[in-house]
Amino acid sequence: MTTTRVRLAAIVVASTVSAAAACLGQSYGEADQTLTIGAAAFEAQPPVPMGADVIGPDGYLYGGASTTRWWAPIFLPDGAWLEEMCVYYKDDVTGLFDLGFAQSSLAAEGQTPANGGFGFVASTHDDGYVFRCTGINKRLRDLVDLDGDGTPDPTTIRLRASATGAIGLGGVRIQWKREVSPPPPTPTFGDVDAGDSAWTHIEALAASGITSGCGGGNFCPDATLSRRQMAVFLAKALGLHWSSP
Amino acid sequence: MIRGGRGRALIVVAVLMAAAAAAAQSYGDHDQVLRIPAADFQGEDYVEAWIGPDGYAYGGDGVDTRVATGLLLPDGAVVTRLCFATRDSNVGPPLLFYAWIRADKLVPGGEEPGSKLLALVDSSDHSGYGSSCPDDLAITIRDRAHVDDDQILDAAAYRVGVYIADPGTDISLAFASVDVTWHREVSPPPPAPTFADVPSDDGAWPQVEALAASGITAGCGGGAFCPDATLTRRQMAVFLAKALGLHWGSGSGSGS
Repeated sequence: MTTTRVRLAAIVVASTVSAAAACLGQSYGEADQTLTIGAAAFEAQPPVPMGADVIGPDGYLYGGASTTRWWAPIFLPDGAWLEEMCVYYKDDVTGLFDLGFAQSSLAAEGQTPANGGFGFVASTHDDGYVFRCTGINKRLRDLVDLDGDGTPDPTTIRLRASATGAIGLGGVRIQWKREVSPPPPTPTFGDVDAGDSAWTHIEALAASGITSGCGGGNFCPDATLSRRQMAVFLAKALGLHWSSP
Repeated sequence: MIRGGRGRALIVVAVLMAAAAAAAQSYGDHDQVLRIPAADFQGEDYVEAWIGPDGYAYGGDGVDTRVATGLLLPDGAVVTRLCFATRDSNVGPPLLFYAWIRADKLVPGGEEPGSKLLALVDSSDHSGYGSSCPDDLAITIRDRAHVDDDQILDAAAYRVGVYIADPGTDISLAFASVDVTWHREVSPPPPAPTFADVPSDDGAWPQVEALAASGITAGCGGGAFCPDATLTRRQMAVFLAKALGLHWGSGSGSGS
């Protein structure tokens, strides 16, 4: 076991990881959430030759080619509000580095994919470990009109980093929030009109299939709730529960 | 060992080992299992690990194989078990073959980087298919954690990986997946109660504090939560919709 642990230290130092997955922020509520994406979540694109990209002894990802491009997928719910992004990296006085969000639309037949980007953070030619934060203030949507033709298209979003020289990428932290969707133009229930303080929230539950009201086209917003009803609401909302055999 | 003429095909297969791992999405506070299949791991060089006909990822012949991926768990999750499904044709002395979890520190200006080994699971070293599943772990995944020894909380990113030592020509070492068993937790309550009518000896104190900290409730006014008041369906709707961040349909809304 002792031998194993010693060996592991050496292995991790030498490792050229570009492991796949990004971290999904999974906390709930309207408070700020943090999505942390470590260097291991980035992969070089196009794939680089053996040993070209290296996770250094400091755990940071370094490019071997003259210019390296890394990508990391991010998974945030439709409607997520992006507030701020902080990029952790090792800067170099002569190298170039930038990182930001890249969007790509999925083209329908006969169309051409469109690309866009926002929230870029660029190196400032410091020498050593730094982190830079930038305000984003943007709402993520599944459908985005990237090509400006007036029709929103299905869109993917990734982080894209580009580096030259001895620039190391440590990771990215994104501050975001959940939002409740805007209500529809017309109220769904006769007894919850657009002036109701909970209109938005009740419409969101209806749109999600968690409630269909109390019958007769109404929601009965002032009726109290039994523990039975509470159990049904919660279990439906959370999709509970399939236990593994 | 399969090499040589099939090398080019194997490289192609290995390049495809790049998909994003599934995120853990079950709810409740009992045990959940995040299964990360071999195909979701990435190698250090795109060449040395390949998926066999049995779906297992095999180590390369002549080199050590190192693969890893991000570990996707929510802040506050507790990892209790790391399972490692393996194939080992080695009947001689054990070769190094194990799975691990690490925390990596994201470094603010002026500090040195760091990384901490949190778990290490050796393969069972028996011949054939098998698994190693120690269940004595108690790793709390925190967005900010003590990765180094300086008593200051660091921004942390988590990785899970597998190491396969060069198995030589007559030996196969392979893994199919890493299973991470974890459970959700309700956050610890603050030192002082937020609501005057939900003191620290209330049976629901941690849960009420967790809702307050998440922005799901601000109480019923006047610094109180009114824990014994009944709930209207309207209030219930607000609680649920805020908690789940409902509901953005793909078909509506502007592009920004």
